[in-house]
Amino acid sequence: MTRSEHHAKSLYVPESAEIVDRKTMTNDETWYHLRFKSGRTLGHEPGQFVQVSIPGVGEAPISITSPPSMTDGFELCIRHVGNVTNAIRQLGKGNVVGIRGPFGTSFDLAAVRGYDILFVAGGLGLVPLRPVIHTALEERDQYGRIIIFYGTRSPDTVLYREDLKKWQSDPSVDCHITVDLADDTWRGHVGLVTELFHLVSMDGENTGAFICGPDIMFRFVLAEARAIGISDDMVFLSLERRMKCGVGKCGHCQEGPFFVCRDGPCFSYDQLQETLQREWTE
Amino acid sequence: MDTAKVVGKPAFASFIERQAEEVSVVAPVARAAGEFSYGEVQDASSLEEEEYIPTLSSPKKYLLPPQEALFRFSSPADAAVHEGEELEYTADVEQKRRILLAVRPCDIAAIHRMDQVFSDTEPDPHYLARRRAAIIIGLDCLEPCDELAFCAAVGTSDADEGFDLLLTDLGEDWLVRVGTDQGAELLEECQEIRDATEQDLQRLKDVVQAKEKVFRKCQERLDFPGEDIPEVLEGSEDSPVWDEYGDRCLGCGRCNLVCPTCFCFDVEDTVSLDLKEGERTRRWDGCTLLEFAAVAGGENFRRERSDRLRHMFLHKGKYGPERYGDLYCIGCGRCARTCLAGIDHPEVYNALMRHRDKGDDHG
Repeated sequence: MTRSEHHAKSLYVPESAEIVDRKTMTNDETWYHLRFKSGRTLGHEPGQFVQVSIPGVGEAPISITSPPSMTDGFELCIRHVGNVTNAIRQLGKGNVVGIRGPFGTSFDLAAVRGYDILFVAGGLGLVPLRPVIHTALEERDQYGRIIIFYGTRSPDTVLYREDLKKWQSDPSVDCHITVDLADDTWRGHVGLVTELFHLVSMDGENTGAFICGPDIMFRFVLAEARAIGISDDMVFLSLERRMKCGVGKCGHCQEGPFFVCRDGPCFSYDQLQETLQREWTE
Repeated sequence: MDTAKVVGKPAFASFIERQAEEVSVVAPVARAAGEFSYGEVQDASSLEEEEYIPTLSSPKKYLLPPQEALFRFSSPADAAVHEGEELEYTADVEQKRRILLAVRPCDIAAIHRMDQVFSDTEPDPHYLARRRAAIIIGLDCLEPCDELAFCAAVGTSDADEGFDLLLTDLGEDWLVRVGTDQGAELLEECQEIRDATEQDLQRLKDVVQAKEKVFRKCQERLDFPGEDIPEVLEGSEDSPVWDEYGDRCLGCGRCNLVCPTCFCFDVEDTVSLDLKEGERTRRWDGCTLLEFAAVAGGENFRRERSDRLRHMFLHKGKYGPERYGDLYCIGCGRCARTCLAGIDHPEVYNALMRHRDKGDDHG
């Protein structure tokens, strides 16, 4: 089958994938392990996303949360906020969803080879960063220090507790977690994710950063990254935008000249300077 | 260089009538006094309209319908999802042969831009199937359609390519320029047609030269050359012009609906009443509408009308040209004709230019 014939059939048509496992992560988020019924592997890069669909309800863009090294299916972590993601909430093992993808650009780990890496995740932003962190740890000797800052609203919204525990006990990783609002159970740091920059001294000129979180977070984290001397072309971020088609056609995800689904979601700060300057530096 | 033929108008009319028996032919038809829109025709009378008024919308709807199914799911969706059965998806890609007749140079330019978008990176099979099945018979404009058109200012008042055939009115005859092999093949079915003589080509030259003068006012609607639009927009993000026009804009999306280069769409699932089948449908959407950039979590990346209006102008005048090399505003003036707030694109561009010249610090 030629490429064009393949596309004629499949550009908007999803492939069936079975939920082989699921786990409730928080009140709002569920983790899913999916496998294509056809047996094919997803073949993604860290930072890419898929379109998940429920026929009759619709489709939603979801970040892939498993590293490419995982070949027995793939994992998604879904926040239940819209029609599609709430319909998915009703599904369990053995149920089938539609998948299109992987789509979009990936995080450029090759650019930070030999450098220290700083990961900054806010809330659900940990989801697209997780495969990058896993991949970096799989090839640990390629990088200098690995520093992880994770900030979330409250202790009950902490995602990937097992991963975080592992990273915190790994002597080759410097992992810090903070919550905006603590409760009685919380023994860790309280405050915004930007405050973590003051806990760790970093060699900005030899550091590359991967950042993902709500839009409001970017403005402040990017300022901190600059303040410690990380150059803009060594800062990588992933944007969330409305997406319908995932293939650069429907126009919803436009941000300045970019179609985030096609030209992103992973960008270097350098690339986005002009586009988001007003929003992030005022 | 394309070849040229000459045919008497009655002979060409009967050629179109014969075509209409075989394939779908669409052309501008009068809907009400002074209102035209593209519709199915059986003859060539559209070519005879004395007073041509631009159609409300463009022939885009035959390449990207206002609404179309991307695929249907036929087995009970609910059971498939819940019991792990394979869903049956069927995607119909329409390939009905269709002649788009009397397409004006501005709309020919617009179709070229739509081709760029839908062939980019991941080609869109639905659009491209319709496009491949379409034959474009253009009709050259010998005068501007009204005072809102500014095609001559953005270089789309003449068509040099993008058509299969292009008709120019030589009085009793049509001069037919052949743009593609498909066009040449089609003309083989046209009777009483002959090659253009030197004399015919001179008549064409005279007509085209006369256009320049007739279109001067249309060209002067923009205070600067159209190719400078990207440059004028460069760095205009904070211009007070956007607030001024954003205040006037109603955010109703009418401009998006009639624009021949707007391609954005929304996607929605519908299910039959017995829940046994359904389809995923795309329909035209508009970037000036409030919800256009809103995500499920509640964030809206262009909440203000001025932000949305600015995005539309930047897309047409800067981002489009940067990616594809062509302005995505083709100067047809449809948006201004339909705008309830009277927002007229050349007026906005001129205002941006004036503010830039004044060296405003943009407050």
